[in-house]
Amino acid sequence: MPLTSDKRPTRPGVGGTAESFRLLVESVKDYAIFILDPGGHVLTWNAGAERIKGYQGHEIIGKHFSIFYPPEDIAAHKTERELEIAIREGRFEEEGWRVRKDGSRMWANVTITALRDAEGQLIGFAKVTRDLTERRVADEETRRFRLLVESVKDYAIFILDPGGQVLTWNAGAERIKGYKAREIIGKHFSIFYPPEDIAAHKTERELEIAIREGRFEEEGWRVRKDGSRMWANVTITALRSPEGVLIGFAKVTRDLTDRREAEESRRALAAEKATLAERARIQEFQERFLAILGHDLRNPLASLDMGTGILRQRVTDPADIRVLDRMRVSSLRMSRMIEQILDLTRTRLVGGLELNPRPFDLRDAIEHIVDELRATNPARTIHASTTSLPGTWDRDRLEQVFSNLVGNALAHGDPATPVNVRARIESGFVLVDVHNEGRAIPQELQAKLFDPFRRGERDSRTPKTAGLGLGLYISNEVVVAHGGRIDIQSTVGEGTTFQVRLPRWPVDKK
Amino acid sequence: MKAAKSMAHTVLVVEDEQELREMMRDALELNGYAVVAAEHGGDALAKLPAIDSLCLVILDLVMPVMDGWEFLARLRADTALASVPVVVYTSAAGQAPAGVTRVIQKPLMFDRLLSIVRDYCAQ
Repeated sequence: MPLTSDKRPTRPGVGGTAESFRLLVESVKDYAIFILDPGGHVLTWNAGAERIKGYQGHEIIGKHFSIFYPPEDIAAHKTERELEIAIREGRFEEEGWRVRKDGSRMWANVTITALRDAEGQLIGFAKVTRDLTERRVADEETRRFRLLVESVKDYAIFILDPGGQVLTWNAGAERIKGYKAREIIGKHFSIFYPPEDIAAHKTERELEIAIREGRFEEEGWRVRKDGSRMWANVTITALRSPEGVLIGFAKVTRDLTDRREAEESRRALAAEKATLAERARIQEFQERFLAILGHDLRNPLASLDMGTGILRQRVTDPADIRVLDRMRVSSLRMSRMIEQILDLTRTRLVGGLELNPRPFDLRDAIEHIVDELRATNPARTIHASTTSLPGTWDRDRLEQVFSNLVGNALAHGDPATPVNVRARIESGFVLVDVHNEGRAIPQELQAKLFDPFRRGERDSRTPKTAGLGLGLYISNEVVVAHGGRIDIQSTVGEGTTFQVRLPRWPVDKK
Repeated sequence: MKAAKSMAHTVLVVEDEQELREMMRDALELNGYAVVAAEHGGDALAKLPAIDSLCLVILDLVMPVMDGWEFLARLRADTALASVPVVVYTSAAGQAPAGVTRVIQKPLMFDRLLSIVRDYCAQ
């Protein structure tokens, strides 16, 4: 019994139910439901078929159903095979490409069911087609997107569940953090944070911010699997369902350690440059300062001294002479102080004190100094006992040292007793003792004796005109610059001895 | 300037600072020396030919126009003046330029000036 496309019930004899069923089928819009005759020609058409395939009933009824297939499927006899399977097995189902009336392709779920009468005679096929194109496109997008995320290597991209447990893992995450997917999925993301951050509840705060503001971003320290730290840019984005329910967090992490290290080395380089520039600036300042002290300050002093010298020769009034003599003592003292300030400055400068060592006999220098001091201190006795002391030193500087030490012995020693200078050579060193009788130097003062601008030793016996308290400091610097040292021995019974110990030849100082 | 030729020997003072230069001239003249004063090396070179009996040059090193080092080199290049004693006074110890007879440390005080000139010149 042939079936037709008119409004008669598809199952004769079922009556009202059959009519309802026909109406149902015809009005279904989501499925194309129609019947083929045993040869594969379209017998019926419904609203869903029209919507999905684009044909009106009158256009398609009577046409072979291969019209819905792409040419390559027709060439491959796919339509015949599908009907054969339906006949043999009662039913055929697949998902595959079909062609709409406008030529566009759709991804369709297709079932073909063989229809048989009571005697088992094939009377046709029921064909139900569902358009899955949108779902397939969505699935494809998801698949591609997943592939994309999984293969990104420069960023760790993964998802956390609402509680912060890792749900997914990508190649970038493995590369950057060091964990394999199986090692980390299910673990809480605080594993990536340094202990101090965990203790400070940083992970909770970050999720709270992401929940409240949609997104959290920062640069900070994170910890790799091997325990090493990395400087990372991190964003955490709250993921919500269309209804607004929190379903997790997307976490994207980028390792910026290299960039940070490059920045740090750039900064260090810049700081080093600044330091060098600052040092050059200080050196320039020091050189200018020395020039002022050495040149600009000393020339007017020379003028003043010459002026008083000239007047001293010309005036005859004893009162005028007294004034001029005092002025000349003052200018000489000031000249000595400038000298000392210059020396102090040189010791504190880049490079330190400069020595000009030449071979000479130190005995000559000591005797010269002793003679000078005898001349300026006629009331005092200075004993000098030295052997020949050949060596290589800066003669001017060492004369300065012994002038200072013997001068101090005269100033601080008991005036009724002599000052003794004894020098000798002992195992490659020259030892010079400068000794005076009198009060001992207190122990606590001995340690500070070589400090600049000492005030401690100033007592009632110290002349007010003694100077700046730089003499011993500079003497010590000179001796140390020669590779030697000055030792002090001072007791109540034995008086005070300053011992200068000098290597006989220049010591190679770094 | 007093006549350089009225004295047996003449001191050439080369110093750019006027007050010090004039003070040196007065001090030396007061003590019986003839003085020619110049404010830099070029000035000194210009005045040299007119000096009859030069016994000593007292030379500052750091000066504008022509400094002490250049003046010294030119002086030593002149055969007639190659052996004239030259005393320089500097602020830096130890670095004696070539051709210098004596180096003294600044400041050049009155007594020191007279004792040095006494060593080289007749009053």
